[in-house]
Amino acid sequence: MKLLYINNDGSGFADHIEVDENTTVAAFFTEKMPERKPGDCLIRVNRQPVAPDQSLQPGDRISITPTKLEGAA
Amino acid sequence: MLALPELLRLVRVLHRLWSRASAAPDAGRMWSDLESVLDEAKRMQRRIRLAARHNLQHTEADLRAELGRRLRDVTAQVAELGDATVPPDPPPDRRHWLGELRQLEAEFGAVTIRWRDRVLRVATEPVVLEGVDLGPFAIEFGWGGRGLRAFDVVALEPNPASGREDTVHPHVEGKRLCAGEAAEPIRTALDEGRLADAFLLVQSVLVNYNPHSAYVPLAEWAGFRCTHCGARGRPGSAGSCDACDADLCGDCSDACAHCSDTRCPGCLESCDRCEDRCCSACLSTVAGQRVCPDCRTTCPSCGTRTVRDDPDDDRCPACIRAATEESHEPEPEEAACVPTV
Repeated sequence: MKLLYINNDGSGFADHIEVDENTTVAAFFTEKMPERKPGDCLIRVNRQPVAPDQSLQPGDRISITPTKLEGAA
Repeated sequence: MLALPELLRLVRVLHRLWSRASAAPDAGRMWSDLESVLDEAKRMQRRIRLAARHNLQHTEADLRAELGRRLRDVTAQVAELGDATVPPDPPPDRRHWLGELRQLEAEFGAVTIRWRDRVLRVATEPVVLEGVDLGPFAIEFGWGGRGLRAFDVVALEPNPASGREDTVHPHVEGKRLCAGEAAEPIRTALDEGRLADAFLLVQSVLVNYNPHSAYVPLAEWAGFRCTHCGARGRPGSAGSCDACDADLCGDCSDACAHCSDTRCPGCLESCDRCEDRCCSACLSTVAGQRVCPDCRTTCPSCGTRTVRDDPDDDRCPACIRAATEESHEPEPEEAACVPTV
């Protein structure tokens, strides 16, 4: 199934991607952000907070935004 | 929650702004620029041939270097033209903007709009970093004169760094956030019209601390700033001038050579005789000179205050001179003495 995936880590990007049916939010996060902890990110599906075991649906918009980013001077 | 008319008005504004920003570049102008640069390059090639024919080696070398630069510009312009042939992504539609604004409200609790200033504002929860309470911050997005990438950060209950009123957060100076590793994703989010993500990324910087790159390290937040040289220090790492109360770092803290009181360099003067640095209380003006206690005395013969020339002799110059003259006068007995045979 196709999703809109928005990754606000690194340089940031938004792209339509294919994922397996019944992929949960937790599994998606682990696959896409192996170096981040879920607690250090805001995960939104269709702009709403979600439970980790929620299954993604075709056409969903999932965004991942790190909450720990280093500023500079 | 924003009232619907206000929300829809903002949706229209944002849609118009992003539609304008994502308009296709002016390809006609780009072609014309490219042609003029190519014409100039051809002219330079002719001048190079002429220089070579007349054996003007320096001129030829200069022209070749300049031609190289021009041709590299051509390469960049061709690349830009190539990009311009790809149709730009359509700007986000109004439904998208409605979703962005509703998400912004859901994430931050409230969104306020200052129409006159063209500013959209949200507020964070109070930010406490390493035990330092910096208070809540407003994150403001302005769509006025500074383009679509302008975020301001305003401390709502400012707790600025000691001596730095404009530093209200280790990564904020004035109202400008130095976004560090968030700069790039903020830019991308704004380019794509993901306004809520951009606000969240700004917040992610505000709730974190990077001790390796801060305007003022949190360890020194409540510390002092050396009044003399501007260096910052940890609390209690140095004293203050006993005369003017200026806070001093270890390098700028000095002491009177005579009484040892702490002084800043500006509150010490050199003794005109020995050049020791002394406080104004220890220096006195004697015979037109500013001298320390070791370099002045009271003449035991006449009682006048005097500058001490000889450490073993407290007499003033006049008394020393008088005594010297006296010792050189012939004694009357000696003068009257006539050798007897």
